[in-house]
Amino acid sequence: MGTIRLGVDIGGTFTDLVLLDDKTGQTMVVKVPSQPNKPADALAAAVERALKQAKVPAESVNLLNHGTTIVTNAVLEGNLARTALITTSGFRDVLEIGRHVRPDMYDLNQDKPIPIVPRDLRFEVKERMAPDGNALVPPEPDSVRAAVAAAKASGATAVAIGFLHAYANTEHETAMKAELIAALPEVSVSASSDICREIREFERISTVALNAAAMPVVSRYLEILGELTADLIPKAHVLLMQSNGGSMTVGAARQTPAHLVYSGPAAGVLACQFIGQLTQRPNVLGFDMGGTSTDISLVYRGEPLMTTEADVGGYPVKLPVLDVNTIGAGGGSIAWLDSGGGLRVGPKSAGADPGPVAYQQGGTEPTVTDANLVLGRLIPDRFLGGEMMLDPDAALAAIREKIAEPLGLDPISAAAGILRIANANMERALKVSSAERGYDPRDFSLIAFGGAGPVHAAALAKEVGFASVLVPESPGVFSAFGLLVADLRHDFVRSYMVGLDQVSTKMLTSFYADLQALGEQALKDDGLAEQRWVFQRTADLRYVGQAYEVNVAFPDGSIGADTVAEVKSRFHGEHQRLFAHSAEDDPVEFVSLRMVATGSVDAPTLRKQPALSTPVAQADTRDVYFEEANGFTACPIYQRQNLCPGAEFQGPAIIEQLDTTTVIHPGQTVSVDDWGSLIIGMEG
Amino acid sequence: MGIDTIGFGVFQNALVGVAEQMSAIIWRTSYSTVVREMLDYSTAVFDREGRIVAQASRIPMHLNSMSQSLEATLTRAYPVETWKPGDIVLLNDPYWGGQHLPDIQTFMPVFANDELVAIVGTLAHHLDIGGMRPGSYAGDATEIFQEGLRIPPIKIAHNYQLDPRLIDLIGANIRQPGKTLGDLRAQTAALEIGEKSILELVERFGVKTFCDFSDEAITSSERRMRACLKDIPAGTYSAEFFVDDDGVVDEPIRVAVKVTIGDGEIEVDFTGSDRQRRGPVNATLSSTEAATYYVIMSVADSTIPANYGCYKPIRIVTEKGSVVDAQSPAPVVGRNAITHTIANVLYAAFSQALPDRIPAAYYGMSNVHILAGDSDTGSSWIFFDIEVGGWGARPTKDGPDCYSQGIHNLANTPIEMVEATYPLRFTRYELLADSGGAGKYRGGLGVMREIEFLDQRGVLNTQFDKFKVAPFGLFGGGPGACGKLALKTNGQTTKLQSKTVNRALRPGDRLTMYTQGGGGFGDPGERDPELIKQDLREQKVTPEGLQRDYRLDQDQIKEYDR
Repeated sequence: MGTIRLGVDIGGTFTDLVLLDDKTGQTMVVKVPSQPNKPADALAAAVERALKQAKVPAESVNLLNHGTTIVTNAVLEGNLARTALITTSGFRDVLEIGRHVRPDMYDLNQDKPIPIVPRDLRFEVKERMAPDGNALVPPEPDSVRAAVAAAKASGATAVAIGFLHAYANTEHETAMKAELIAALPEVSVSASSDICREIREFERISTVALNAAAMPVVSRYLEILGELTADLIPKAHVLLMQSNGGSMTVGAARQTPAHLVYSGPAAGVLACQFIGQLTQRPNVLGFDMGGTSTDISLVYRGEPLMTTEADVGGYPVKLPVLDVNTIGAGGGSIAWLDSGGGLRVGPKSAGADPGPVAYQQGGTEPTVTDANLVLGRLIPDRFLGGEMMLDPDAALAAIREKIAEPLGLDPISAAAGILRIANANMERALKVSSAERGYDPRDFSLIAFGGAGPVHAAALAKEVGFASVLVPESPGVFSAFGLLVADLRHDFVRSYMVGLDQVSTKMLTSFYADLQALGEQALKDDGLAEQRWVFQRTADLRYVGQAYEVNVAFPDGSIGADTVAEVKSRFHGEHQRLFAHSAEDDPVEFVSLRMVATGSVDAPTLRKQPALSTPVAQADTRDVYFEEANGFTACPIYQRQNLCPGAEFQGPAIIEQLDTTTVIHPGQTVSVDDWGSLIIGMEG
Repeated sequence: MGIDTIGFGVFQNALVGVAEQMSAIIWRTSYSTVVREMLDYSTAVFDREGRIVAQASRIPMHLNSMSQSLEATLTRAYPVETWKPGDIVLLNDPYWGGQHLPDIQTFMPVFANDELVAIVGTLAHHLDIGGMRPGSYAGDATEIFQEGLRIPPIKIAHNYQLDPRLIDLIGANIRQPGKTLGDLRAQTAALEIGEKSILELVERFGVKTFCDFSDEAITSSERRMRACLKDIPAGTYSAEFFVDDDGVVDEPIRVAVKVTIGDGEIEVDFTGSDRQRRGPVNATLSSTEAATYYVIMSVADSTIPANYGCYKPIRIVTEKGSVVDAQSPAPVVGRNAITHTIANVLYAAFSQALPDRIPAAYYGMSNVHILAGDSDTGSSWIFFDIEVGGWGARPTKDGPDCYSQGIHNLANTPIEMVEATYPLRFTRYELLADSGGAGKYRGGLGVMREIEFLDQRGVLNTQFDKFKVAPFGLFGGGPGACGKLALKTNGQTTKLQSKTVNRALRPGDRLTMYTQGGGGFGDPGERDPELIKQDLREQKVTPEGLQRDYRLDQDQIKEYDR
């Protein structure tokens, strides 16, 4: 049996691959340009190159897990399938009416997101379910027939079914689905109770509409992918990364592609969790800063934060996803002066095209990257390993003209100012993600990755007060590591609204048994051996009258009165932790029961890097600007590949590598750990 | 001017951060859904003179909503020199600069050593503040005394300790005191976080620079606002618009405005607006200001940090005792009938200056409906919700259908949640064809919502408007459809007043609400045939509607409808 695992992260610009040999614990990385119109081709190119470089036979690859932006791109670019919706009579507009709230308080030109299913493709069936699952009106056969005929005539290649209260009783949706499949065998069909058996009709119907609309797109992609991988790596199980931090099989992805919406960022979070485990850091904050945006995620006591409040392109997706806060700030963020003469950075970005002024690709607005270059933190002829020459004079001229002269500053102070403002923006975002949610930054390490993360992390960590910064060995492909460690995962939910004083333990037992049966079936379908199955029960509860729920772990084993009492006490405790108060005497209710079914994958054993007798090899010295040094100061420049475990030195320092640059400020310390990560300590 | 521009940029970011951090504490620690779900609260930082320098708010009606109360507190109750560290002043009185009684405001001074450097404040809408109706929402109140407990400024805390006697006094006058007082503790926790964060800033920048930067925050916002106002053609622009009635006396209420713009300044003169009314739709000056500031920010540049400087070039003129500057003891809880109308009348005036930027009138009311009942178990319940309508059409595109606009920004409650919680069943929730004002660009559609009452007995209260006065169109665009309410009892349908008070409900009664469409923009004859075809395909207009509102003949309609 083969021992090679591949993780492939298909991003907007690059497709990154990490190869792990489980026999030796050795890893290798490959980076190829993405092909937005043919994402599978870039994947294939990366795999081919990796096999060649690693000199391993194709048959030895037993697993390929990959992160994909295919669903997100289809949504954002409007390339979803033509989709119909079949819904309860009187409620076809639920999908379009939505929840009313406008994202911008002032903008008079904003629009609602265009519904995934237009009004003339939404068909009604006379049926009605009550919240307790009691069928008030069984589906009226004539209206069912009419809806099927209308869906057929509409030319839709996908049909979503969303009936009111289908979370409480799936019978009507199931019957409708059977009719549709029989009448329209070529069409993708998805029912809301299959993907999201949860109360709140707009969010559930929006989720099923997006899922149905993505099915034909994803199926086409998976077909191509299947052919390519069958040729290239015939023995490999092919998996896809889900937004919830687990992976899924190709078969599952065909049915529930909505689980792929945050596939890319999820891999980065898992990588953070993994390296946190590896280095005994249970609390880490992921800081993935790229050219146009920055993703911030949080792992607390070894568990990544999750949410069910995600949306993509304004469309809510009511599925569990890893909680990633994305802000529009990156290396390409543009510095500008507002009408009051104040210096601002972002949210407009020069992106990769035209990019910063220094790229000499037509960019004229000074960016954060230009400021870093002017201050000596990036080295002009070694950017991307020398593949791209940067022009510091052009960067300096742009900063002088656009920022320094209008403000009456010299260009160096202006460049330093751009970084101060940019860092102030990111400092806010880091505080929002940590302190303002009740997590003390001093208990956390910041994991810096992405092209620009390591440039800014050390300064930010000092301001916000993080314990330390960890820069992994390959920050530019770090997310792809997460793909190597993902378990197979299925999330199931079932809304059950009932007061704790009226709850039936028999019902709870039966609901959890149903959810577990679904989980077992799913893992069986994945082809996973039973000894790898893990089931985890949780429940969403709230005080009666609240409009939001708190998720707590539900004890294993048989369910009795004492179990309910335990859940209640966990709820009060969790409410206290999250919201700083709890009300022991107030009535509490269940809203939803959840089950996570996991098929565990063997954790990889990474090989420690050998320590050498001379772990530090200094390259040269340059003048670099540091505010702490009141200007330019002689600063040692290190090459990352020349630093080995055991290396230790003090800032200021610049550490260069192929895909990023790490900036260490005066007074900070650096060491290299056994896995080749840089650990930056704050002063003192 | 010698100010450290970069340092100031960092400071301003951090200062807004202080208000946001206070806001996060309230959101995280409050009990009530009004705060958590409707985001009906805000936090602010004031300089040592009481001028607002930074604010965090998520709904327009809170813009600058605390400044008048703080000013009244400092001039009429507790002058600056009487404040000590750890003091907290609390008030809710609309006639001490507030908007309505459920909004409780708290203020705390921040001292660096012995020097006052700032004041931090919070405002939150509480579930109940007493008065004649649960939720303190009395549509039939004719005096503020019926609306709940009035609290002029009182020092509720000394040395960070709340006065238990005053807390008891408040608790004794309100329903659900546990929750209200819990939210009050969330507010005081936010003040303490605000104080701590301000002191961190003072430590980082020093007292003098901190105060200089506070001044600069105001000056720079003022500079930017003046620059924006200079871009609006100078002149005087007048408009008037109406509220249907006050719910007590059935007469329309005029809101008149004369906007004068020139030289980077603006005067908004409401002289000519009607005298304050018997029913509770009256707005205090603070409410009128918030609505006015909202419209100007949406017309000018919403990225200007909202503080005293922004508002300095804006002069608001009112007649005391009018509906836009109500005096005690006028009832005020339904002030939004006036403030929504202020927003629309101001858009009408601004449209004359900026015809290519301003939309036609939106639905213009929060459309509050409250159903209450006694379930057979004997426990009583209250369901409170709002419903929105269509936006006005814009100069270059249609108005969004059924979407929050103007002075509020609230979510509806999911039907499944309502039905799982209350003895109510929805029978329809759909867009209303033909309700958007006709025009080259169509107004957004209103919505129809139908609810069946399943309990043994109950009552209905509503605060709707624009049943008689339609949302106007612009430049030849037609008006949006008016709202209406109907109740079907024993097969008999009755039309209801927009402001229905304590209407009895029986099992099987069916309430149908029709919300207002937005006004159209431009001549309907110039509408792009492709848009007409799409509207027909999506049944957002009917052939009859096209014939009536767009004056198309049968043949043309058939052609479009293929």
